[in-house]
Amino acid sequence: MTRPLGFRPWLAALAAGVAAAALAAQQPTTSNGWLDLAPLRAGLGAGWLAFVVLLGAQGAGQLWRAAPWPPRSQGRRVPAPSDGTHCAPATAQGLTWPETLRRAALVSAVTLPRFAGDPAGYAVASLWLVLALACGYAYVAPVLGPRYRNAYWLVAVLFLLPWGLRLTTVHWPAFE
Amino acid sequence: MLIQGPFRGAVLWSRQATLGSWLRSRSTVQARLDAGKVAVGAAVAALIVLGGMARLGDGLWALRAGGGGVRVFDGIPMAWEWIDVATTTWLFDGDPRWTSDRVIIRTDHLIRFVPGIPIALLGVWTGHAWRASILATWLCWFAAAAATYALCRALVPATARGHRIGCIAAFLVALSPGFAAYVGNIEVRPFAYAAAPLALLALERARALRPASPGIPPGTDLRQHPYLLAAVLFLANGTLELGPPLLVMLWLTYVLLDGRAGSPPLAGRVRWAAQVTLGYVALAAGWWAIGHVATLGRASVSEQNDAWYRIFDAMARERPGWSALSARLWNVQQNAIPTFTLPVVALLVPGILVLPRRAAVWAVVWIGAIVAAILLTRHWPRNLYLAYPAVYLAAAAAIDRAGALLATCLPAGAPRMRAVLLWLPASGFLYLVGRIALGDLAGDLSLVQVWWPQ
Repeated sequence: MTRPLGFRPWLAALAAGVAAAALAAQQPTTSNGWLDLAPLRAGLGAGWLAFVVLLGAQGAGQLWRAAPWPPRSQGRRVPAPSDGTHCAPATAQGLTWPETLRRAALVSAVTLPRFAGDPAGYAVASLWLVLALACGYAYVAPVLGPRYRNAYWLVAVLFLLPWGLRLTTVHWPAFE
Repeated sequence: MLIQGPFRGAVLWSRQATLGSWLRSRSTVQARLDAGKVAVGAAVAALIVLGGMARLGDGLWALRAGGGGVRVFDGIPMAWEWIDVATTTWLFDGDPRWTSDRVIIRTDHLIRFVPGIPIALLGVWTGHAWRASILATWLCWFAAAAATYALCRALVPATARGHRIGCIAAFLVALSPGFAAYVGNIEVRPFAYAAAPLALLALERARALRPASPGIPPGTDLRQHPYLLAAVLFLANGTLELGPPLLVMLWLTYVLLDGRAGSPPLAGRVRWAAQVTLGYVALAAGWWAIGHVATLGRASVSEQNDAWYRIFDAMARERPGWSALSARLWNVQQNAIPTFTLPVVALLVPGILVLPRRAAVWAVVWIGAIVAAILLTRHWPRNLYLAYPAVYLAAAAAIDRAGALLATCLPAGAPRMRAVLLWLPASGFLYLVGRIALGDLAGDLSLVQVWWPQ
């Protein structure tokens, strides 16, 4: 999670967005306005979806490489630095801002099932969730301390999961 | 004894045995502050929950004011404007109801997007949007009290004095007419009233953490990162267009007027604030584009609630002049008493005079930014109330100074009596404010009718 992800997810997102927009533009439109926004909406949804999926795949790959299981040879271990800090800087000193955003994007991905039929709707929800989760982490992590600050993400996942999976229905007053 | 890991903490805790002995093991001043914070927090939470529960159902301010804006929806009396929050919640939820022709999406729904999010997320846990709104209002109310306390502690350097002022201000928030006016509705205001002190606290924390020396690399603590602050300001703006007043605060208080010894040079402060501003503008522009694309261009301009539309419209209709300005200032002055209650308004100016210089400047700038926003848009008490972190800070400082002056009359060597005298004026002051703010529970509807005009 600490390595820079590079520009590949962004490029893939752009490609997916353009492709989805091009496909949507082939569909007959009912718009009588000066600009039909349906292709843009499709592109927005597909682009953001591709970005989050790639981000998740890269993050999962990095976690897999960093995990202590399955047991690997001793030669793969990173030696501890001589200054006494642990070998995982993101864990010892907290996440940087880009890492925080990336992890917030991954956590927001637990709400993806809710938007299975409307990826553009996920882009709207995800933008706000990512910002709120990242800001929350920045202020909660110093209170929780180095040992417990990662619990923030677990609590966030548990809190968002029922909404993401549509486990319950929210009752609204009758609109009359 | 070699005990490691979590067991070591448990053993140490069991040795200390009780909260009292744990407190005694710390320094006396710190222990008193901790115990005081817990007691004040519990009292503030109790006031908020009990005050909120008393205003539900028949106690709803909107209902008691007798206006036409209240209907009974599924047996629950509520202001009809819940539909505005519902529209944003449904868009956030991906609920197809937002595409209905009967639901009108306007630009104010896109700008005030934040309140719909906690209602959507808490609604899943409570099962009902109304219950989620009440829970969210309580959380906002308590967060506002805690943030106001923390702001007072940050702005008044003397520890004990800052703690006393913070406690008085937290009680003022618990007695707040602003939150009381909207509890029981599905409304955006409670979120804005919480966002104001929280965003101001984020700016204050960033200043405290900003490296004074150029040798310290930036970004060592996330809380002073300019893009984090941009996100905080953007989220605060997502409650009730708080972004522009917060940017005014950023540039005036934290850049131009921040001349503390050891602070970064002006050029460094300007660069930092410019990054915050650019990040905020990028987020706002990005959301504007995403919001309009996601709603397929259906979001129409709100003539009532879109602040930018109102500003440009007012400029086009009415040439700004002294008469218009003085008329609006007169409205602000008239609304100040029902907004904050008479005892608080009476102590505003004395409070600013007794505050430390930086805290006084901070309070004046925030009040000025909110009043300027009101002069340009609308002058209801509900908008003026956004100035409360600064107003409560000043009023609390004034009444605390009165207690300190009273305590000096006693000879040294009577600490208990001195403590009683120190808190005596504050107790009387809070009693007076409480009588006014809780007056609706005793049948006095004067505040209710001002906050929910016909």
